[in-house]
Amino acid sequence: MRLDFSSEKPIYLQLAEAIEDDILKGIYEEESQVASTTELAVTLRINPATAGKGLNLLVDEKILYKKRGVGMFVSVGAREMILKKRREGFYQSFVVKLLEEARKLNIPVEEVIAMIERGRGK
Amino acid sequence: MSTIAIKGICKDYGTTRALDNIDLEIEPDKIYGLLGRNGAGKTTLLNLITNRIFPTAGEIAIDGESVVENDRALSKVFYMTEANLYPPGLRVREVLGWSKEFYPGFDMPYALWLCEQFGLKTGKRVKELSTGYGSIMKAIVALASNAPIVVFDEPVLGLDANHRQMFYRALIANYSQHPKTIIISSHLIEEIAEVLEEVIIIKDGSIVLKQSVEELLGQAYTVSGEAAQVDSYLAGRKFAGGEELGKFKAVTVLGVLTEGDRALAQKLDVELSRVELQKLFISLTNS
Amino acid sequence: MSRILKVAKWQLYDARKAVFLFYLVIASVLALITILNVLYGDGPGKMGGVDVNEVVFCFVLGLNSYTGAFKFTQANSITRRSLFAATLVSFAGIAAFMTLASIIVGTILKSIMPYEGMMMQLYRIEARPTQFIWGFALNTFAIFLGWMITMVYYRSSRLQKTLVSLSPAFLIMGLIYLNNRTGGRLGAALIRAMRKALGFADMINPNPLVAVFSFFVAAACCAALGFLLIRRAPIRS
Repeated sequence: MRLDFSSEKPIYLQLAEAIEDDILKGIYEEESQVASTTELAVTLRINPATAGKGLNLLVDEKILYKKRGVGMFVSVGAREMILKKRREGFYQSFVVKLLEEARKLNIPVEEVIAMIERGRGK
Repeated sequence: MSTIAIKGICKDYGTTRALDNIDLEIEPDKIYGLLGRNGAGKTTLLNLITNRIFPTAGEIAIDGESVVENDRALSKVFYMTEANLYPPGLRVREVLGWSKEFYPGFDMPYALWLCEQFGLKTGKRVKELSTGYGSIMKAIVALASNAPIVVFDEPVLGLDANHRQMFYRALIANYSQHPKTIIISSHLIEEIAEVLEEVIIIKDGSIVLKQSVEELLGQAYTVSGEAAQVDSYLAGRKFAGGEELGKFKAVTVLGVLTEGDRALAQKLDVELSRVELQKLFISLTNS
Repeated sequence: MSRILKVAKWQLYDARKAVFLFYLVIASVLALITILNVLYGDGPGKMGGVDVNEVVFCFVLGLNSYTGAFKFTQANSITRRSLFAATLVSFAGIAAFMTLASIIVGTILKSIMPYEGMMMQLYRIEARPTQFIWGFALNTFAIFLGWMITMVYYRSSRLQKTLVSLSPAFLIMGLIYLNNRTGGRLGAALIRAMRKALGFADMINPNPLVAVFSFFVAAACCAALGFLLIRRAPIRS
């Protein structure tokens, strides 16, 4: 888990997304325990309140749940929730950017589509 | 959970006014950064909070009780100073032992564990310690004291990069497991930026800013790229300070980022990134 | 244990090396004297004055006590008030201990040679309780005097320090001048006052208890002045 301290995206958001990535990758399985606020804060060298904010964001979205006295756990169905959320953002985060970059490099849209086909073939 | 209330504090040295009408509320259990240029008044303020020196006017109260010559209020504070105040002939383990006498909540096993981690030999005498290890010893006492309010004045003075990392880790872990009010005064702003929750900036004896780091950094950002493009982006915006290297330019913009801004940036092919606390600090404290 | 007592405990702990060294030296000197006495036996006259060293030691201890204790108590967020109270306790303790020790030393010496302590030489009195209280008062005065002098220097600016350092010289010169002007009457009056304070109003039967009173008063004055100076003492880098 690595945070980009120069990105203008708030740290707690980056942390939440990094945990979501780990869930998607299977590093955190459903019903398994996530690192505690303390562990995250110490490892990433950030203020525990920030770490807590990131975790609480995921709790609010029901991706994580709190077991009192024990810690934070990955909810059942978390993967699905994250995938759904990401899919909705896919267009903005990737497609729009892809087209912008292509335009910058003067690559016509048809060539982009051809590239996608080429990639799909692999 | 202890609060510090600073009201109307002034401190004069002869005809020089070192602190002018300082009003501050330090809320409990947060990590505060006290930042300021050399001579701005940071150490003076910290000395006043801890009864090391006396105010010319105003008062400072911990949990409602004035700190002046008040044992009960002061027992809630541990102050790690730049200067060494421990008897040079005392051994490290004796310093720890006496600290436990005066701070009943002192965690000795934890302190000894930290000594081991940092490689601080407890048999050494205070006068035999290098600058770095002197700081390490004092930092360990501060962390192990378990006082509700812990003040650090330049805690990483003389520490090598490894030890600095270890210190920050230990500080974060300690704070996370045993919440307390922490005030850190340091010149290494970028190193502690992510550790701080709130930042207080002193300039020429007055407070110029007291805000949460998140809010503060959310109110500014950096735009960088080819100079002409950056200038286009800057049109009509407030900005403060920047750097130029050939055709490359990076400027600190004052304002909150909107989607429109991001779109514009992409169009102009300039990059938007987080503003560094240190850069903000420098522009805020340059005369 | 209250905070004040803990500080006093530390002050005693801090003084232990010096005190130990002092008695080590005393013991060595005693051993030497004993050996010489055994070898050369019934020499002329009397020996005395081990306890004078102890007064000097107390004075020097007082001189050295303040700075370290002040910095140490500041490091542990202890008020100057508490330090002062602890100082009273620890100084009394040291004075008492050393007085006791010197009575014991005196007793040992008396058994092997014609030894006379200060008190015997001055007052011709032997009673142990009186010896103790007199020695205790004198030692207390010595410690507080040293301590007060250090306080004065700590709180003084450079100019003030110079003036304070020169003041004994000025005082003596002033007294000599005034003494000459009064044809020696001032000097005589001062000497009479001192004699009285030390209990020699009656030269045949001097009263050491008067001296005890004078010493305690003097010690109290030093302590009071020291307190006024310590109240707002700032930490110095």
